Amino acid sequence: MALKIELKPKERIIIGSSVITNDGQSRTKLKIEGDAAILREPDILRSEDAKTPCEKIYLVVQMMYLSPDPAEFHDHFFELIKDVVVAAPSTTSYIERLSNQILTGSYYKALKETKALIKYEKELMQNA
Amino acid sequence: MSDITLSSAVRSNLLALQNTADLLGLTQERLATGLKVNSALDDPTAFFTASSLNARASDLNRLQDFVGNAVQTLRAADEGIEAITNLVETAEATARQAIQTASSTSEFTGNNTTALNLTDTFNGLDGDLAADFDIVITSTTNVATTINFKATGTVQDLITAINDNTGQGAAVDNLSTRGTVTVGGTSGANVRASLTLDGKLKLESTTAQAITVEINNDANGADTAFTDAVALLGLNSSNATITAGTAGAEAKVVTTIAAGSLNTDRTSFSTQFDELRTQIDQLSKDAGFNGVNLLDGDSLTVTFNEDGTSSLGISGVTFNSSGLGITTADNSFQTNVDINAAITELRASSLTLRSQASSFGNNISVVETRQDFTKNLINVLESGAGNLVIADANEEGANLLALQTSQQLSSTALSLASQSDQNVLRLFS
Repeated sequence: MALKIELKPKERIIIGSSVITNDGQSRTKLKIEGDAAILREPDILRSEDAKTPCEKIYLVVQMMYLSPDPAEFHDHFFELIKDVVVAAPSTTSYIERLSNQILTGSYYKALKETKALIKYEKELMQNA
Repeated sequence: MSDITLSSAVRSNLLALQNTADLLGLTQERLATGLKVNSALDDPTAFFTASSLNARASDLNRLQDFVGNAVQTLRAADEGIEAITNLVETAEATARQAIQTASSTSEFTGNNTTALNLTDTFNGLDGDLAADFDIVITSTTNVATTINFKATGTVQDLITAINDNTGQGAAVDNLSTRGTVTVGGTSGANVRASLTLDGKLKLESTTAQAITVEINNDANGADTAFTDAVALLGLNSSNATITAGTAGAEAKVVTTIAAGSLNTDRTSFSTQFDELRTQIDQLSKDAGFNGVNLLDGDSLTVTFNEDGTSSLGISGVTFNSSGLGITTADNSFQTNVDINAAITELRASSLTLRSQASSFGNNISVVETRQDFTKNLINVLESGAGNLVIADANEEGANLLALQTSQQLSSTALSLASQSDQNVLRLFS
């Protein structure tokens, strides 16, 4: 099934290993078929913007999603989640869900789970 | 049943005692395990979350055992392939040694001047050759191959027809619209045909018997088709007896090659070859692990998570000699045709083995990657479950802030950034 995406002027999207920018003056509709990784601009986290421990997890999951060889990021991933679980054990269930998505190769769903984790992290940090 | 009735005062004292004992037990348990929450009664939410995490960790642990077995099964198959490849290589060396030994059975090679190619048609080689001709090859009385050959047939068709002395039906239809191959007795002549490197038809006897090659005209009297066929196949007065056709008889050319002898070295190489073939069969049966043999037609499904949504199906293969297409040594390797056929089969099976080994290799690496991931995940889940019962939102928030600060100082963030430079993310600045 084709995926339909609408881009605003100047909006960017990652498809596979390319960045596509809507360089026109009007909104553009894209129809995408195939199984390349697709990441819309609002979902993209740049490495310089990943500040908190859980944002760093998001960054590494995002890199797995976009990489042809996600396994090379596994060590990094475990280093990061281990730190978070030790610091805040109540994040374990979030981390468990996102790990399960990674294990089943659903990196996009893993990103969504990581977003929930970041939201939870924000709540916890407000308590501090 | 007892008739003892407890007064309410006694009953409440007893209850108090029981509570005290429970409390004591709880304290002891906490001291022993180092955990704050040990039963659902203590703190239901934390307890059930922790125990579900522990249950998941143990589910995953149980799966790890299966995944570990799968890796072993794949390794066993991989080692089996390696061993079978060695046997196939040894068999090929044996066949090559056999072909180095000169054959001693009788053989005929045409002395034609026009080189034949397998794809040439006879009427293409000689435009005058418009009619059919008969070729009769006899190895003993009544064991003969008679081919009524059509001029439009190719050299390969003729060779196939001579070699295919058991099931002529299909092959023959390609040769001649009106022709048939009549084979004397139940099988054809004991010969194998091939084309030499310099384009001559070569017939090798598979037995010690003499062979007779006869080409005759399809109709009485002499005609050009006959003469041309004779010239193309390399029979002439220097190596054959020519009988001119008459009004009442077909013209024919006959040559007989004296009986030879069986080459005993080739026979013993062929025996070795067949023994190696048997070893391949046995090895393919022994390449299993835990009852699953991927080289004997079994398949394997590796489940990576506890609800079975992530799994890898590995189809097995049948790598015994017949599955690999290695047939027994024909005619005790007396003819080069039979040995070359064996070598061709062995080369093809080497390629099959190599590509399957790489496919199993890929499977092993996929399974091992998942195995490592799950192992690490179990560790994280267990450490999370262990700490959950001492969780405190304020403390956790402070810990995360501290972690953020320490990560900023560490190299982790730097190396992540450099890894992302190799990623498409570098384009996204």
